[in-house]
Formats: sequence, structure tokens, C-alpha cells
Amino acid sequence: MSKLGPFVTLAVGVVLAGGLGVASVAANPGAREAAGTAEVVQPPAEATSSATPAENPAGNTSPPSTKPAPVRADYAGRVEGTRALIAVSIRGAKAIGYFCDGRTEAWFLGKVAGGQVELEGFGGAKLTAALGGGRAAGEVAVGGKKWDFTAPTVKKPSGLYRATAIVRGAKIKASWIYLRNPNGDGFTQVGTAFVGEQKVEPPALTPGSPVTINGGQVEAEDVDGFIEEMS
Amino acid sequence: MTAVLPPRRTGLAPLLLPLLAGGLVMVALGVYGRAHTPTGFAIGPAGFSGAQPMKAWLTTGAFLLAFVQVVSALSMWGKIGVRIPGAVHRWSGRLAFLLTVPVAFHCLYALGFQYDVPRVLIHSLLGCFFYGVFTAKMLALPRKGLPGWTLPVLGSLVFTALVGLWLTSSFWFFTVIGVQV
Repeated sequence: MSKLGPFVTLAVGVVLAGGLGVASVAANPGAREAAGTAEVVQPPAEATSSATPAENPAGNTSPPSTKPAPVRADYAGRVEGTRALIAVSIRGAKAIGYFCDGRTEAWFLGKVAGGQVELEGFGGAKLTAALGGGRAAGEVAVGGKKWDFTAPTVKKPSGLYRATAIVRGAKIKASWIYLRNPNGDGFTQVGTAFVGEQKVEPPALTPGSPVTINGGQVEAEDVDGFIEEMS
Repeated sequence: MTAVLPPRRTGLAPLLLPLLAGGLVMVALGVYGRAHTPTGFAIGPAGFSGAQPMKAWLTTGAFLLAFVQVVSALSMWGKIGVRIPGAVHRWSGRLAFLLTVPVAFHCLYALGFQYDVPRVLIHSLLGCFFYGVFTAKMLALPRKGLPGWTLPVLGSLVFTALVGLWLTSSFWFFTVIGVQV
């Protein structure tokens, strides 16, 4: 065996990674502003007419190889004209949404198609949004009312959390949206908690730490932790 | 070829450099993954609907080749009584390694080192470990006077890390998100 073989193998790997790096930087110099764990979402084709070239100084050239797809993205923001927060998370073709103002809450489930989500909730609740440009923008209808919202991509610890457990024989269910304040100073959260059918005051969430509900410790999971059981 | 054969003496000393280099690679990848602000975007091979399916499938390719690696290594050491040409081991290994590069690149460049759920933490750690051990093994390969267990142990660690990486990524993806191209 050539003594150089292993070095060549390593070198080729390094060169390949370097090439991908150069190509990535060249293809998307603005991506550093795109939020953390969120995939860059390909804007739907019909949206290109409304996007001015000035928004994309790099030119609207599509990247040479992989086209970014909404594989994994987390959006969260405020619902205009309410005290509610809204969160939409995309995992593969699945999408999950949550609306909560502390009193009213609604979960939404559905699929992503063509940069759009149309999610259904219970009792006619509906969430539709277009994904792209680093945000989900759309409409949410809950309890016969309808609001517009724009939710930018967020990164951890901002996002959607849910805790379910049986504590002292009671089924515990709690949900939160945790959102970094726009000025970057601290976090806003809104949530609900239930012990059985009984609504209780939701404990303050600190992502990564368990919360105490009904005298028991419950782990709050992020979307990756609960999307499977919900969809 | 004029080199004088070193005395037939095995010791841990020749292992030092490969292990040190491997350790450095591990730490460097982890530090980069943490320090670099994830972009959420990276260039990768075309032909997939998105980055995640691309990674899931490339990792699966490497995962399957890893079994070729184990079988061909066993053959090399005369453990299975079948002679598989050494080139099979070398080339399946190279291919497997190259398949992982775009995956790891996307992980580190677009997502970074994360630890908010156990799966992701394990995956991040294993990813750094994998390239560290792989580097150590590559650097150990041409060295003489290594203890006989060096390559089997390093190879097994590479294999184990890759299986762990596959389980915490592709397997998770196929079972939780769904099998999609």
C-alpha cells in the first residue's frame, strides 16, 4: 500500500470540505443573518415577482447545487393586535403550529407544500402562511376570529415547547412559546397548563430545565421531542 | 525503499502523534461548531429535496459501506477465511469517508454543535469523535512499530462512531420525519 494513500484520503476530504465552504460562502453571503438552526426556506416561485432585487444584493442566482428546502425551520412571533404569540415549526414535510395568548390556545398540524403551510386545528381553527425570506407570514383563525401575523425564524432557546406527563395520576399537559425579545433583552413567554381537564397557571419555562406542575417535575420538550407524537 | 528497517519493537510511542492529531481534530471541530455562527444554509450535493434527506441518504451510504469495511478488514486479518482484495477495504473506506464530508460540512457550517436534546448532543459529540478517530487511523496506517491492536481498535471506534451517527441522524430522520429523497 502506498504510504501516501491515507494522507491523500484525508487531504481530499479537507479539500472537499473547503470547496463546499467556498461555494457556500459565495452562494449565500447573506445567510449569516439567517437564523440559527433554521434552514433557509426557498421562497415560493410566485413570490419572486414581489421580491425586489435590492433585497438580495448577491443577485437572485440560485445556488449551484442543493436548493434549500423547508426541511427544518422554526418561526415564532407576535400576532398583530393581540397578546398572543404564534409559533410554526417545520420538520421535513410536517408542520406544526401553536397559537397562545395565555387563555386561548390552539394547536395546528399539517404539511408543507411549495413553501406554503395550511394547517388545521380543532374546531375550525386554521393557520395558513407563506414561508420564505426568513419568516412565515400569514393568517391565523381561532374561535371565529382572524388575525394576520409575521413570524421570523428563531433559534434556540426561542421556539415551541410542550410537556406531557402523568403526575400523581393526573395527566399533565403544558405548552409554551418562548421568544427572545426583539431588542435582544430577555425573553417573552406565553403558555398554558392543564392538570387533567383543569386549567392551571403555567409555570415559567426555562428551556432545558424541568418545570413543576401539580407538585411533580415535568420535562418540557422542544419540537423535535414531540412532533412525532403529535402528528 | 533504501530505508533501514526499524528494529521490530512495538510500543506506544509511534501512536502518540496520530492520537494527538486525532484529538486536535476532535476538539477543533467541536470548537468550530460552537464558535461559528450557524448559517442555516450550506451548499451540498444536488438531487435531493433538501439538506436533511441529502444528509440522511449520504450517511446511510457511508453506514452501508462501513459494513463492507468491517467484513473486508476481518478478511484482511484472516478471520473469515475469504480473501477480499485490500483495494476493497481501501476504496470502500475512502468512498464512505467522502460521503460523510458534505454531511459533516452541513452539520458544522449550517447547524453547529448543539446539545439541546440528547440525540443532538450525542450526534454532535460522535461527529467530532468520528473525524478525530478517523484522522488518527489514517495517520497511524503508514507508521511502523505500532502495537498490533492499533488498527483494529481505531477501525472499530470509527465503525462504532459511524453507526452511532447513523442511528442519531438517518435512522431518526427515516423513522420520525419519514423516508423521503
